[in-house]
This record gives sequence, C-alpha cells and structure tokens, in this order.
Amino acid sequence: MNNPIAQSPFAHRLSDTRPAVSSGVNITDLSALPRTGFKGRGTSDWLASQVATMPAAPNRAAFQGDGAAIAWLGGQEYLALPDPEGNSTFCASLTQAWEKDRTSGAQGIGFPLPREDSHSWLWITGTDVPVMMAKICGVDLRPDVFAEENMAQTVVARIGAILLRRDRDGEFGLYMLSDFASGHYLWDVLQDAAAEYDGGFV
Amino acid sequence: MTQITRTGALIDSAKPITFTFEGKRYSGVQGDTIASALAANGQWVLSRSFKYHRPRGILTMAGQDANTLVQIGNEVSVFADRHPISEGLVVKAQNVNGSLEKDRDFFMNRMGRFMPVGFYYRTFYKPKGIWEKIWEPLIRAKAGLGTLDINAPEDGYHDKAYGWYDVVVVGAGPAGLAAALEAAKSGGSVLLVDENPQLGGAASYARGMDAQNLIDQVEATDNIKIWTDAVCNGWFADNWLAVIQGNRLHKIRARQLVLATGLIEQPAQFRNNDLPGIMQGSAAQRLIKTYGVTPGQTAVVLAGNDDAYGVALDLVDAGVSVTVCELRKEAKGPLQARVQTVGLTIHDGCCINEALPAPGHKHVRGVTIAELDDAGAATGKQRMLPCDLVCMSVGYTPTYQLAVQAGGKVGYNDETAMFSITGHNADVGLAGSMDGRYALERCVEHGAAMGARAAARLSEADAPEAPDKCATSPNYPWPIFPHPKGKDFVDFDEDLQIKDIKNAVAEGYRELELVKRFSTVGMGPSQGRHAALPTARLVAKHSDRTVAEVGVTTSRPPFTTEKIATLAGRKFTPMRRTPMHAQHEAAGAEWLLAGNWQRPAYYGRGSVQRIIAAEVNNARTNVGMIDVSTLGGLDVRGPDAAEFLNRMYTFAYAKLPIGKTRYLLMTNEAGTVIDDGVACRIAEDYFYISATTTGVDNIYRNMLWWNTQWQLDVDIANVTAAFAGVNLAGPNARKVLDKLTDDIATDAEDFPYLAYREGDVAGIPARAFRVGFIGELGYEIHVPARNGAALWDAIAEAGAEFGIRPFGLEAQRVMRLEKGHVIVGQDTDGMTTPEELDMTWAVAKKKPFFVGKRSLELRNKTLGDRKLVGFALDVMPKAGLEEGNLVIKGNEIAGFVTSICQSPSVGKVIGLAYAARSDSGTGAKITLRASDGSLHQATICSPHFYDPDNKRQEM
Repeated sequence: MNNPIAQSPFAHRLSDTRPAVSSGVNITDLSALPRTGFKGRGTSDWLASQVATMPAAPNRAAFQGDGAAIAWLGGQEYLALPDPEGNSTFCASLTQAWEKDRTSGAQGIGFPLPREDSHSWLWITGTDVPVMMAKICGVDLRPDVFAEENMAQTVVARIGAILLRRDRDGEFGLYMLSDFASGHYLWDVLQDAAAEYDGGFV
Repeated sequence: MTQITRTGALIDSAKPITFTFEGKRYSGVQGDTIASALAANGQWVLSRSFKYHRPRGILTMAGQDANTLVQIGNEVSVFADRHPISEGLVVKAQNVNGSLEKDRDFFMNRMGRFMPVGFYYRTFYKPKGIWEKIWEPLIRAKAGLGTLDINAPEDGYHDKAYGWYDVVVVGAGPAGLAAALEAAKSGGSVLLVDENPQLGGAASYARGMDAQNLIDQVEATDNIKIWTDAVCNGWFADNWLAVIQGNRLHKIRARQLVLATGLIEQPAQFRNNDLPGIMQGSAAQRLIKTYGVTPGQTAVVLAGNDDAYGVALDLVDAGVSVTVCELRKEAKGPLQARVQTVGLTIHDGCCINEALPAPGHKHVRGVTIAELDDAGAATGKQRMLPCDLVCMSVGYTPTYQLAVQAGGKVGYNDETAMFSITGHNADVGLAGSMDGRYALERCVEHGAAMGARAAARLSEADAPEAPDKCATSPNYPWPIFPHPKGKDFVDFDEDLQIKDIKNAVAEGYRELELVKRFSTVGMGPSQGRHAALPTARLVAKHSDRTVAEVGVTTSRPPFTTEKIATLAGRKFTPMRRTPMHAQHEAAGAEWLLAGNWQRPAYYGRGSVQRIIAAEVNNARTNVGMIDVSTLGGLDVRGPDAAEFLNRMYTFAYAKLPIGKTRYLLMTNEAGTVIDDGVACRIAEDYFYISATTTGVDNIYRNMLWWNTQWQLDVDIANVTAAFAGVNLAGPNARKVLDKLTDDIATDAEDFPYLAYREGDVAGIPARAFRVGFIGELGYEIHVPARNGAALWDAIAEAGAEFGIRPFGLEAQRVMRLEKGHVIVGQDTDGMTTPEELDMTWAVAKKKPFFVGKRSLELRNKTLGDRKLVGFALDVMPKAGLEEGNLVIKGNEIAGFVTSICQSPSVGKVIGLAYAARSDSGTGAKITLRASDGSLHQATICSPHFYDPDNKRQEM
C-alpha cells in the first residue's frame, strides 16, 4: 500500500500564497507539523514528569529549552507544540511515553488528543499583527498587554481559536490553532484582514 | 451669487471640483462640503421638510439636523454639511415630489390645520379597511427620506475593529485637547476622537478662540492617537464605545473616558424660523472661517448671549451689513462694546416676531422684530428689517447624549438657565463647556483637570481639583415667540410647531416622554438635538411646572445616524468543509448546508430526481460511497465511561463487548428524543461514539454539564473535526474493502453486522464499523482528518472496477427513509418520545437512571394522541406533497409529514408522518393536505419499506 498523503486543511489554497513582507503580516501554515494534546485526570502530574518546564497558570505556555511549548488550556488539559523552526521530536516522544506508561498499566495519566487532525496551526507574525487581529478578534493582543507565553482561548471571526504569543526573529508573532474543518473559511478571513497591511499567507 | 475666491481653514481654492446637485453642475473647491459648495454658489435650498415640504437649508453646518440630508447614489440621508464633495459627485435632494425648486407637495404647507398634533392616531383607522386600501399605500408612497434600490450591490467595504485604550477623550475642542495632553502624561495610551475633520472644536470657528498651541502639543505627543472624522456614537457598559470612522466601526474599550463634547447651539422659535438663510450663529461662523463662504449680504443677528456679538463681528469682517436684535434689555460683555464701536445698530429688548419669506419660501427676505414686554413676550411695537441672513445666538444645550448613556441625568436651573449633568459612571469625566466651563481659559483648565483625573484613576491616585463652573449662562431662558399664524417650528424634522406641543399638553400628555410619543417630537433624524429644550420649556409652561421638574427625554445610542452597512460590517459566515471537499467538487457535487458543513447533495447536472435515483440504484445494486465526516465524533474514556453512557443514553452499554457497536438514543430531562448515534466500544474504558452532524456541539456541552454534577471518572473529547469518515455501502462493498486492507478481515463471520474493528485501510490507521443506515452491506471507515482525501481517493480507485459511485446526502436520505430510519430533528420535534417512534427497544427499562427516564415513565402512563407512522401512495399527486404538509382527521390537524420521497427502490411515494394514534394501524387511511389545500389519501404501512428483514445489511 502506498504511503498516504496527509493534507493540511490549507493544502488547496497554497497557490494563493505570496512572498513574505518586511513587516506587516506574514501567515505561515504549520499544519503539517506534529502537535498533540493531553487531557483528563492526572494529566498535570504525568506531563510534569515528562517535560522540563510546566506553565505557571492556565492560559499560559511554557517554552522548553528546544523551543517546544506546553500550553495549559485549563483544568487538566494541555497542548504540546514543537518548535516550528527546529527538528523537534517533542510530540512524538510524549506520545510514546504515554503509550508506554499506559501499556504498563498506569492509570490516571490523562488521555492523548488528536490535535494534528482537530486543529489547524498557523504562525502569524509581523508588526501589524495586533492591529490586524483586532479586526477579527476581541482579545487585546497589543504587545505590551499580551506578553510572550500568554495564551487566549477565544473566538476569531466567529470560530473558536487558541492564540499563543510566540515572536519570530524579534517580531511579534502568534500561534493560532483553530478548527481543522474551517481552514478554507479561515484562509479567506485572514487574507482579507491582512490585505490592508499588504500581508497574507506566505 | 457665486463666490469665486474663498479662503477657509479647510478649503484649497486652487483645486476646483465639479459636482452635480439635482442635475445641475456646480463648482466647489477641495475641502468643501456639499452644503458649503452649494452655499458658495448661492444654492441655499437643500431639502424639503418632512410634512409640509417647506424649503430648508443650512441650520448648523455641523451635521446635526435633518435640513441638510441628501442622497448620494444609493446612500440616503447623507449630511450635506459634513460630506465632502469630490469630482463628479452626483447629489440629489430627498423627499421631493417633482423637483427641489418646484415641489408639488408644497401645497401641504397650507394644510396644517387639517393635521393637528396626533391626528394620525385618530385618522387612519376608520372606516374599517381604509388603512390597507388607502392610507398605507398613500403614506408609503409619500414617506421616507430618499429612495433605496434594495437590489443594488453593496456599496463599499465595511468592517469592524476592536480597540483598547487607557483613556479615550471624545471631543477635540480646547477642553478635549487639554484633557488628552494631561492624560497622556500618565504614559498610558490615549485616543482623541472628534467628529470634525479638524481639531479645535469651537476654537476652529468662534471669534477670539485659539487652540493652535494645544493642537500642536497634542500632535507632537506620541502616546495620543488622533482620530478626526470619527464619531463616538454610543456608550455602553464598562466604557465600551462605538466609534465610527469612515466605513469602520471601532469597538473601543476605554479604562477611563473623558467627554468633552461641547455644546449644541439652539434655534429660537418664531414664525418661519425655518427659512433658508436663517441659521445658527455658529453655522455662519463655520461657513466664514472654515469654508470661506459669506452667508449673506444683510444680516440680522438675534442675540440672547454674548457669543452673538462674536458672530456679528465675524459677519462685519466678512463684509456683511449687520443689525443686532438683542433679546436682553441690558446686554453686557466685551464683544458688545466692540460691536458698538464699529457702529452696528442694536435693538435692545426685541425679538424676531416673524421671518418674511421670499417667493416660494426659497429664502428669508426680511424679519419683523418686536419689542418685548416685561414677561418676555412680543408686543405690538414692531418694525420690519430687510435681510437675507438671520443668525440665531440664543443659547446652547450641553452635548449630553453620551453622558446620559453613561448613566448621567441632565438637570436645569430655571433661574440661571444653566444645565448640569450628574450621576454618570465614575469612569467617565465631563470636561469643558458641556459641564458649565464656557470661557476659553476656564474650559482649558477644566479639560486639563479632567485629563489629570482620568490619569489619576488609572493608578488610583488622588485627582486634582477642578475649576468652578462659570457664573454666567450663555442661555437666554425663553427664546420662544409664538405667532398667531404658527409655522414657528420647534422640531424641524417633524414639522412640529409651538401649538403642537401646547396642544399635546392640553390633550393630557403632561410628561415629556408621552408628549414625545404623541407628537413625535425628537423622533426625527436630529433625535431632539434642537427640539428637546424648547419642548421641555413649552411643556413646563403649559403644565405649570419648571423645566427642572419636566426634565429632558432619555438619550439612547446612536448619537447620530449610522448606516446599517456599518452595523453589519464585514460578514463572517463560518463554513466547514470535510477533507474530501475537493474530491466532491471535482465530481460535480451540488452543495447543501448541514449545520455549517458544506455537504454534497448529489453529484452531476440534469434532472435531480433522476440523479438521486441513479445514486440510490447504484448503492442498492452495486456499491456506493458517501462522505460522513460531518457526523459528530466523541471519545469517551476513563474507568466510568460505560456508566457515563448508561446515564446519558437510553440504551445499556455496561455489557457491550469490546469490538461491538450499539445504537445510541438520547432524551432530555423531559424524555424528549434529542439525538442519536452509534457507540463503538474500543476498550473496557474507551468508547468512540457518533452524534448527529448538527447536534454534536450541543451534545458535547450537555455531557460536560452533566458530568460536572456527576463527577464520574471519565474524559469526553469532541473529535468531530479530527476524523474523516466514509460510508462504503452496497452489495459489492466487501469486495472493495478487501482490496484496501490486510489488517481487517471483512467476511461476515469475522466482521459481522454491528462489529467494530481497527486496522490500516489504504495504509491509513482506521476505525471501521458495520452499520446499516441505508440498509445495505456497509462499512463506516473513520481515519484522521489529514488522511481523509487519501482514503476517499483510495476507495474510489479500488471500487472503480465495480463501478463505485459517490452518492450525496439526498440519496442517503431516500435510502434511510426506505429503511424507515428516523432522522432526529427532522422526524422528531420538541415533544417526541421513543414510544412515538416505536423505538422503546432502545430504552433499557431496568437501568436505575438515564437522563429523561423519570419523565418517560410518567409520559408513558398517558400516551399522547399521535404516533409516527409510515405511509405510502401509489403516485405523487399533481399538487405535490412535501415535508411539513398537514395530516387532517375530520376538521382537526392530527399531525404532519416529516419525511417524504418518491422511492426508487419501492416504486411508490413513501413517507413518515405524525398521525392520530387511532389511525396508526397498518392499512388505515390518513388524509394529507398538500400546500395548495388539496386533500390526498395515503395508506398506513410499516415504515420499513425496504428489506424489512434486514437481510441485506446483515449479509
């Protein structure tokens, strides 16, 4: 059997991309990268035993030494993201560790979540990102308010989204994770919002 | 008279612009508004009044009144005194019958006595039927401001944006500028909003005021953002401000708000006070200073305060011959002394008794002034003064609208004619003239104090002292001079005269809000900006109370007109697509919406009925495939997973073996069916369950809500979007699947009906289960969403040799109906019980609890009158039958059709309907009423129209 192709929800729109602009708004599709999540009773303790740094509070992320992130969504629910510019095995290692512990009979270690398939992943970077996002999201994302590692679980253009501040090369940046099935819609929304700043998908 | 060379703060005379108004070409210059350019060309009539079709012109030059509303393209009610001209702009007058110059409805001006206040309450309703036949068509034809083409495409791009500031200052006059500067010293973010194109407020046109130094400082301050041409149109809780700038609605959160919105100059009431050429003193100053337009040649200034003399001097400087009609007998002030030095005539203690119209009421040609008696009323000592301009400077109201929206109450002192605003939100400060600081220096000082107060409140520091209010009011207490012949307008928008308000009170409407509703005063586009005060004064007088006792009407958002397009903004219509969307598109799918999912209805073009029948036949006789990715998917995991399902659903799951599936039926607390699906047991503590496409989000929330109370050790995850699904169905389905998997044994023994299996399908890790929604051998295959397209392609390729074809939702609906499977939401309503559906087999009665159990037990004791039944007709009646058509029993409605189709497999018209329980036996007849009212007999039969023994799906 051939190895099946895994598609980003934005796969059919890639011809609409443009070169990166010097500042403005650049949107990069990271959906092809690994990501996972864990949820359920005991997740916090189990995850703390697996990673170097845990987030200090809900709606915060902790970036690990290799740039990977553990984001605390609330209660016993976490999101795990690798460094997009690295070659991280962060998520795979966590998944393997969970399966190993589970196989060995461990209970109360939470459950993995299929974040690669439930959520698209974008990196929206550039100096105009906060003002661009203000057109489609009601959360104050100004750099001095929404600091690095801050996270918001909110609504963007009427669909649910997770926003995590992650700068890129010294420029303001946001990870945005949103409904996998709404990728086509989200693409249009973001292209439209970014056009005012000569930005868009790159 | 055309004024060729003009000098004004906002215009550039070197840049001419040509535009048309009422089909005639006019020249203006860059920076002109429509009204200023027309005035410069001697065109003073801009509109016709609402009721009497009287000519109307510039009143405020501030976008505050309905006189200047015009139509541009398909945009109605544009303020001509705000909207800039542009090359080729086409402007039309509104509410005109014929032409603006010769309006056929001007005869209404003489019909006033037939239209007393509130006449419409007594007139249009009798005799019976006259409203629909006569009055409504007539009024609809006559009414309205402008003509809207509702089929025209949307004009322009409108959107919205959020914004957050530490301090927002509304109004960039001297007080607002000072407030912004002082607030900015805190280091916080400051937004300064002004509806005018330039900063400075009254200082940009009023005599003797200069705010340039403040403007320079504000513009040089980095943390002050300046928005001109931006109107704050509403205050809402927690300092949520609606600010409109251009085509964008900004939704602003301000930690502190300073309102420095200034004053609204008020007109005086005298006969014909609405003639073109009669305007506020400030309007004349705006024309002169801002647009370089000389508003007349011979002016009478009606003075009720010292500002009138600034107007008079500005007019003199512009070359206008001026006479002052001074209401006060002992007027004082430095500017009056200046006026006397330039030799102007001042008639002390006089009012304007009547303005005299030029032919056709196109302009004012003179006024009759009258000496006032000691009570402030006009006497018979009168004289006529020829003029082509009347400027009214008799007083102001504070621009209190936003402050009132913020909880403030407007007070009025009848003795001093001073306003006050109190009780507004503590995070809102009032600055400058709107809070009684009229003199420039006091106004600036107060603005600074309020800016400092806002800054102090950000850090919870002590606020500085604010300067006292001015002792002298600029408001003449009674600038109202009724005339026996009327046309002394209180409300220009609604053509309401002094006698109308008086008569409303005489009718018994003593309270201002009632007067407003009875007379419609303040209900026009101006929203009472000029009518509220004289109305309050008149109601006070005629009900023997003070203005303070009468009060003013409530002010609600919006402050000024706003377009529906602005409120709508950019449309956000979320739409979900399955991972196989491109494949469907390539196969020629016609789309329909299921919730917010786009799903293929059917594939191809041509006769829809034939396409659907072909899709059905191929699935029934060969093999078909349908994208079921939109089905809700939930992972339920944990030691209490089975117990959780036992409580949430009616069936029993504790003993469901691993690798098996079982039907799910959910009722709410009232025992009403609200969802269904399939539970797959993956492990002892792991169920993968499906829910309806449109119901899953609610079901998920419902589950979280219940388990918050139950605290079972279970985790629920909504994985709907994470899985793509394909239902492979038909007699050849097994052969297709065989080609795609080595992991899963597909024969009936190893993978029987209702079994669940896992393994690679087309190299993709898959969850597969045998289901029979359409009644054929079928496999539902779920894979990670990223691999959905690959799975679809692989199945299509493997099935090609068998003639596999995709089928859409319509064919699926037909096939499930042939099997008699209900769709929750379509075949159920807000009352449906499992018993009505004949689905008590899905209710485990021995369970101690499930949501809705107790209600069902009660409801089952007394069964309802209706039952969901299958029915059939040999042929579809010509009138057609459709879902929603009624089931009639005698003269009563017994139920309705929930599903109906022409069945390709059965060869009949089949359907499901709620019918009387007494008619639910096989062979009974029910009567269906088609949409055209015709009645048709149908025969009750088993709803399992196709393969009632289920042999095909279990093979």
